[in-house]
Amino acid sequence: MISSGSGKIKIYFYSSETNINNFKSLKMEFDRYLSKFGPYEFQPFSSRAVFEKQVKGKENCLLLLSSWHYRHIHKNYALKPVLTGVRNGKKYQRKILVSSEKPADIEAKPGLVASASSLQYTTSALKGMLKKFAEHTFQVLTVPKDIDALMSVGFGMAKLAFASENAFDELKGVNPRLCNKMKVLAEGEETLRLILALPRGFTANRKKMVDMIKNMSMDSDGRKRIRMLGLDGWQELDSSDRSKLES
Amino acid sequence: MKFFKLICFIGLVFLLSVLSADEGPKIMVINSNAAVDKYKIAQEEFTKTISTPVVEIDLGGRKWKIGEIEDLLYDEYPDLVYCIGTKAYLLANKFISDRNIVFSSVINWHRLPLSQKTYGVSSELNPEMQITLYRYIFPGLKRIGVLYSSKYNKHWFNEAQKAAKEMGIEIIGRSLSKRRNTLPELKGLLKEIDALWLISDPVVMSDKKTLIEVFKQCDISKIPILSYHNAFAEYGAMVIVSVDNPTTGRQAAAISREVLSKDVVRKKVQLPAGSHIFFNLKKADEYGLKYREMALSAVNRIIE
Repeated sequence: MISSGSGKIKIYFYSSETNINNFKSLKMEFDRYLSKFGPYEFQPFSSRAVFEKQVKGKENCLLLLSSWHYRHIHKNYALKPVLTGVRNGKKYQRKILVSSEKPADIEAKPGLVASASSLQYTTSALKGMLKKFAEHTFQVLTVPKDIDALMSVGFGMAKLAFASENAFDELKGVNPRLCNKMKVLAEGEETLRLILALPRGFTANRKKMVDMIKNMSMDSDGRKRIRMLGLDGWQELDSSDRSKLES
Repeated sequence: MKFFKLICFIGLVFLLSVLSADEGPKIMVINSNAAVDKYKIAQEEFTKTISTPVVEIDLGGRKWKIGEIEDLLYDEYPDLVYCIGTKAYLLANKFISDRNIVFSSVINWHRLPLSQKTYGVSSELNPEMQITLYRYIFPGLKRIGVLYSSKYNKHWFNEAQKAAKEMGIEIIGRSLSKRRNTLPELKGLLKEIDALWLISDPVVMSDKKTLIEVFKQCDISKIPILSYHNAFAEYGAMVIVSVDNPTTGRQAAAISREVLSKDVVRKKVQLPAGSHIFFNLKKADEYGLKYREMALSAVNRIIE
């Protein structure tokens, strides 16, 4: 029997890469699904600070967080990566910077960037993608979804969009005319998708819990839930993934 | 004594000059009624994003005399006013139209009196944005039916039809001239379409009874209803695409920053940058509709 002090094992979720604003639906759907397996509770967060405060010092819990976030906190929080999310069979994803303006104009003055990722993540990724971002000040408009960020450029609300390559490809399929107006100005490094991590002091039934998450894609109810996180499955990490993640 | 007074005077002048040098732009937020959730959210996001102290006025909080507001606006004489809702905008525009005014949460902004210094975020997503998001959820969508009246929506319909055509979607319209035509026209339309796009039109949706019957007829024919307002969720709409209110506040803050830093604002009144999607997954499964499973991550509210 798995049990923590409060009787329920919590799965804490925060993503710096997506502006998750369907907390109510996420919580309800995940709780309903997880209850089939035992006393589990899904707890999504909209704030990195609140998430970190909640998980600090907790041992019998699972954490779902972006690979970027994991890299920043795994030492201080004594975390161990267990699984990574998969989409279209791929563990890695790439962020891109898209604009409808000429690269020279962007270099001269970046302007407003629409992004569905957290401000910290967007700023850090952009500075790595385009040197000019380290020199100029730029504003970020946080939007709910990658597709909103891309449409913001297409319809002239923002000069640039920071979004995933997947989202751009999907939008190309839906509205090619709009995407023809946009150009990819820069590409980020490939990074692992969402990470499932455990605290090093985790004492509950590790195998049962990890299998529960890993097997979500095996049944239609589980598949629907992980689609809500923008994934279609989970995979274990190999040594190369681990070294990239913890380097 | 004279010397002491002179020192004090010089000190005061120095202090005032230091204070005024440190002073940032004066920003005021006028909310038509902060008890309205979407107005409140827009205000909260604006103040959080602009990260400068702002003077906040809630017109719904108490009974204001017009003279009081006039005095307040002239006393403050802000560099920029963010007006949430029509009432707030009309008052700011009446008294201080020479100041920068940014509005949001105004229905049909085209009817507003605008000045050279008016900027804003529209409350309506344009047809192309809506069709894009409907198609994003239902990639197989080919024929969408629309009931509309030429009197109110002819231009909108033509724009929607043009945008849809670019995406390989046919918009099949039925123009109504009389309220009683809604149900007979719908009956004919249902045989030709994959989904019904319910738009804001006083001729089409004249009363609640007609609205309920429209939903009932579509449900019998298993034709999903796509719409623009969350109020239709309880009637059984399949997908509702509306404006994301927190983003509107942030967008107004971004425009305000551009205006205050004297940057070129490319579009004075912008389309909303954020969307909110409702999806009735339970009904989609009941109807046997194929949807893009990955789109679930973009949905804000799911009914299952």
